[in-house]
Amino acid sequence: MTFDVAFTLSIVPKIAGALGTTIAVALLSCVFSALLGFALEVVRRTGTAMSYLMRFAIDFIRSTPLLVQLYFFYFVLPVYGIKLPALAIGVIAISIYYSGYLAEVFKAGIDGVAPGQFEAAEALGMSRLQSVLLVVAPQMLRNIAAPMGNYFIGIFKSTPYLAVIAVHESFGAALDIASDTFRYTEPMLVVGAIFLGIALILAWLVRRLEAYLAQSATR
Amino acid sequence: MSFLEVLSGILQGIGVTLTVTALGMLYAVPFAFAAGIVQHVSRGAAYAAITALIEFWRSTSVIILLYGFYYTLPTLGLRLSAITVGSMVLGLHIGAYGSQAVRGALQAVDKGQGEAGRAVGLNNWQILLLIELPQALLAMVPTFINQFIQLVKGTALVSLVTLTDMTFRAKEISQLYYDPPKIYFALLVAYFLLCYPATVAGRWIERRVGAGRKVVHDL
Amino acid sequence: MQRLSCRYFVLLAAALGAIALGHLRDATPVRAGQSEWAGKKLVVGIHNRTPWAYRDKQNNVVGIHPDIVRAVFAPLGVTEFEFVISDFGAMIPGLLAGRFDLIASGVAITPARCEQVLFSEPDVAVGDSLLVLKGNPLKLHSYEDVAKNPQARLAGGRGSENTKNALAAGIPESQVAMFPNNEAAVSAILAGRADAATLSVPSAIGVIEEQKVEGIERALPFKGLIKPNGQPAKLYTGMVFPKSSAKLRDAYNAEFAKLRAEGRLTPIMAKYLFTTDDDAGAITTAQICGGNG
Repeated sequence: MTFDVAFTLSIVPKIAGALGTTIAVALLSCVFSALLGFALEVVRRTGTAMSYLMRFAIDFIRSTPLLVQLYFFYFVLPVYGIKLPALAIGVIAISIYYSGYLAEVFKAGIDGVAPGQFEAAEALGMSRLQSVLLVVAPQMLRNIAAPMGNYFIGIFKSTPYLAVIAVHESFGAALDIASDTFRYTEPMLVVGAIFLGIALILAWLVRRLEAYLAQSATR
Repeated sequence: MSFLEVLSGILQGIGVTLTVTALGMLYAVPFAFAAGIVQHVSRGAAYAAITALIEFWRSTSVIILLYGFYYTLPTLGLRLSAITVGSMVLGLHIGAYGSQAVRGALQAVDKGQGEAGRAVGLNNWQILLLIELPQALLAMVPTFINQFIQLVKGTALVSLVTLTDMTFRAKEISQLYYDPPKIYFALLVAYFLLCYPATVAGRWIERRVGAGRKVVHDL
Repeated sequence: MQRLSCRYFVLLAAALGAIALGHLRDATPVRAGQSEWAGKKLVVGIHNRTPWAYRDKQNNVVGIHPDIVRAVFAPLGVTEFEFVISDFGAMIPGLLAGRFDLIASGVAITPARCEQVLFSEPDVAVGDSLLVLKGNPLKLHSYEDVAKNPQARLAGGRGSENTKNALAAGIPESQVAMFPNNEAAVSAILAGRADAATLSVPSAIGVIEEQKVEGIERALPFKGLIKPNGQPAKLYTGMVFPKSSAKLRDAYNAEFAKLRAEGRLTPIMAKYLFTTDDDAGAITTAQICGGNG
């Protein structure tokens, strides 16, 4: 089977058209994983029994593949009466998976803020809330921006997994075309190029962000 | 089927899981070292070239690449077995991440070390091999343990291209016995049993090595 | 000079003798068990679905098509098979990528597929079936019923002809979701993500009888796609070969015809609950590929 350029061009609309779902899933997952990761880290810091449970939960999540967690949520939840659309399952699975990693990022970010900062802010007469918002948080955000950005790129690259649970996103569209026409080369090339392109652009943006933050830190 | 029966059925796939992991490490570790070192020492056009190669393998969505290589390479005349395709794609993808850790570890070595080496009369290659690399190696160990864990988790994807690993065995069982909770929980447990010991070992090594030393993290 | 020509003639005679002997061997007719594939292993693609081709509890690959393949290839001297399980929609691409030698898994013969691959002569003919939630809450008894209800969602196997029949019967694409395998489609119904799933009749029976999935039933009675000539559309299944394997396909057809003529196909069919009604009959692959199925 020789490469068919006309065919390649004809399938781009179908595949690119499903990008909306891809981006929606990625954005939602980024938000939820960040929130969940932050919550996990906060609970871990309380030092209670709950925090050991959280620690184990994070370890369990990070020791198992995302694909398997996806299958688990997709097939098992309905058995217990939790019936959600496949897209929601996808967002939940990706968010939970990456929350473990983002919890570590928050930990490093918070630990990376010099302890003296709190005292200094207090010495300047700021309230607890003010010192958190105006002094600690910006520094923490600076620490976590780049690693978080890289994990967000990872989330974006994980959205093709949702094709196995029949979410109609770009990779699923490519698979549908492939099983319809029996040609895998062209659909895989198109969807692969789209994902590579977007991932490279996002990586470049994260690097720019990193450079900008490093620059502003040395002021 | 009882839970233990399901688990033992799933563990029948452990041979393929470990084979792909081992072969993947054979791609990942050399690629990480070679690419990381080359990127560390090169400038200009060579730097651009190696960076492009690393970025390609790092930024592609691994599931798309896996499908693409599995179905497309034969049409180009490259008849690689499914195991070769699986371990190569996973290995090079994870190796690309590893190369960044190698480069980061090399960069983290005190500049004074290189200067001392030059003062004693060593050339650049000798400095790299005898002074910088050994010191960087220690910082990289947790990274390579992490790569192993990432590979084990990554092997779940090869179930999508007909390789009979643990995830594949689970899906096979589920086609004959519809019992998602047992089957997918057993699958999670199977991966946990493989990855958690490695995680604990990595953490222990990190504690021994990382005291005061900057340890490089990747995805 | 004289001695050289003598040795030369002896060598020439020996060479000619060897060539003659070789030709003589070729002239011997192929005996049973002496086909060019004798002793070789065939890699067979299947998609793990009762009753077509699946791995049973004892880890043996069984099903109507693997059994037919074994019966057909035994006289040709092939007894070693490697079965590779793949998603249904990925089997033909896998064949085209050289991943298997043939597919033996209930693949329907269609004109579109005929353009890409070679089919054996058909063995059985089956119709479509609809799986729904127990009680058939939406009262779906035909593809038209699904099309008439804009809220009804149909699950179909990626790349399957049942799905294509559903679309041909007038169900809009927006109401159809593609799934990689039947487990996902069934789960979708149980989870309320789909209202019905389209499968061939034997596959649907397999889900309910073999897998004993609870909460699902076949929509009965069911009217599938009706062809322009008023007859219900039937799917004829056969083995699939790559275009480069015409010889293998022809050898299969020859032995399969013998199998049928000697009445050995019926017991295989009966073992998997196929009746004589399901026999493909006298129709040929050429006719089906030409659109006269």
